[in-house]
Amino acid sequence: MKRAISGKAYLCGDNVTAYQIIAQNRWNLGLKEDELGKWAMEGVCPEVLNIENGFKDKGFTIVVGGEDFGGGGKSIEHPIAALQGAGVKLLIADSFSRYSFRNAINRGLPAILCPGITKVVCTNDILEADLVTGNIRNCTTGVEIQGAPLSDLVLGFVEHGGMLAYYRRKHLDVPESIE
Amino acid sequence: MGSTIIEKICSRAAGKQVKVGEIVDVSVDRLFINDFQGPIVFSQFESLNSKTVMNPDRILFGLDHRVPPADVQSANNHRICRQFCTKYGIERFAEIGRHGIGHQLMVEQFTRPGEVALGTDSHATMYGALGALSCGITSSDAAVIMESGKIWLQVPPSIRINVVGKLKTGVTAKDLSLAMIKLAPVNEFIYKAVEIGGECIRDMSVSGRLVIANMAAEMGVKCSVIEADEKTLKFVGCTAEECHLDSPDPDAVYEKVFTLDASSVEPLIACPHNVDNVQEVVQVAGLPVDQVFLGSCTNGRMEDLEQALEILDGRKVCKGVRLLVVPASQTVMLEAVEKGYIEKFIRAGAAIMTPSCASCAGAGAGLIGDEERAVATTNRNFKGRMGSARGEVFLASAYVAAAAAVSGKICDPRDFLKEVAAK
Repeated sequence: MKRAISGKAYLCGDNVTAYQIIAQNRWNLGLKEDELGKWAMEGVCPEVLNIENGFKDKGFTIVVGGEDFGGGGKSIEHPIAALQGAGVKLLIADSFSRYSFRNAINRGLPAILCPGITKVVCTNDILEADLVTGNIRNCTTGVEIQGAPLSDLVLGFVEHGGMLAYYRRKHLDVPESIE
Repeated sequence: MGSTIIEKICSRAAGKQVKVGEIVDVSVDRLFINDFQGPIVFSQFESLNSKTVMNPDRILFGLDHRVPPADVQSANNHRICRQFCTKYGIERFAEIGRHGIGHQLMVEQFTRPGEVALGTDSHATMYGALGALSCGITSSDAAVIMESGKIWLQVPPSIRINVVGKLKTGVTAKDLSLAMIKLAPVNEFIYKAVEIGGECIRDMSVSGRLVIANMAAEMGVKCSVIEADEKTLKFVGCTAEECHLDSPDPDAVYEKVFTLDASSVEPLIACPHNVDNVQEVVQVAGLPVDQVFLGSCTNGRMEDLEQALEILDGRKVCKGVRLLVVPASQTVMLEAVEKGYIEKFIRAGAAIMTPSCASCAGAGAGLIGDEERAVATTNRNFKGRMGSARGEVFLASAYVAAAAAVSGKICDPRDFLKEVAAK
């Protein structure tokens, strides 16, 4: 299990909603990560619409959100799938909306709750996060900040590519271990 | 350092002392699945290759969004759910005729204080009124609970709301819940546990507490909880030894503490198209009304019907207005029949509907048309929620709803209550 994730950060402000992460007129694309990924973050960073593969081509693999990241009361998984399709490997936020946090974890995208993170990160900073301890290091500035660590179970979801896949795998593993 | 009620329940369910912000695996005591999410939950469960459902006796399946079905797709969805529950031994299947809004069934006969009780619907926060940890979950969460009996939860920080003073005549738990939404910007409550107590809540009926916990969902909370007491035990029908009555420690740590004076609350109304667009009823008095909806998991219990009848008994629904009365469950319906309430509503000119979510979430009968205005005792008034996106929904108490039905316009219900008192 890869316990550390490092990459280039994109900083957004407070109250980025599910609708801004992936616009409502894209929801009919289904949960295809690659397709959704082309349109990810268009409501936050409109210039991605002028780039061939959108947000993905900007090379940000860590998104840092302010308060209530992914809010708007929607329980759908599309915003998280879109971020995954855009190559995002880690979310960190001052606070997450409840359903965006649950869906990130359930889809195997690590999400670290870290109040104060937006004060110590700028867009393009290189961050390194330890999923087990919750420690986040800004390699560009040298500042360290403590976030909420992920539990073993959640790390298992990340490793297997999501909660349902984790449980599916668990059942497949049973007969093998009997043999 | 002491613990809040939610931290105590989380610790017990996780089998260890938990810390705020920590992600823990908790055992789930009660799971509610509705007909809206059921087919998705069941297909996700079957994709897990599990042969059996863990603890089927801890699951309640409620048909409530499309009851009875009015289109073939809904009928087929019900059929899928019925077959699945039979196959996997989920016996607590609320078949049509023994049905009700699932949240109401969860509190009437199932959830106990101190439990972890989750549901595939955002107003699952309601069971917190019984001193349980309760919140809404996604369909894949429900599938995993059926497979493993557990789910991951993040331990939320708690915010305390102390409600002091007494509610004035004609002011209800619904008005108080709308006052709470205005306590702070919605962002303050997101993902938090809101612990609600104080003398006003202690004096309040369990029915009123259910309104408060139900409406807390509109504050963006993860969960809301009210300390269980003798009233709670009587309501759920168990003894203190058969459940866990959790109190917050004196040195429990809250992120914030609010005090709300109940005696300062006036009859309130949430205006279109957001629940936090709260005004005093008198500020919008005089607006004509086309439909009045009395029901839902928020306000479809005996106490709500009684409040409405304080105004409606012996009066008539105004010409040009339709009043829909939807008791929250068959248990409520039967009691309302036995006490003669249903007859009084019919004599007043109301339409009685079978228990269900009806038009509250736009999934059932009772929709409003273009340019129509509804006063509803429900919990959401988003654009198009109760039918036409060109219609308007105002949320208020059973008193305000009944007064609107009689007068044909939004008005202060205390004008009618004074007449009642004068008689």
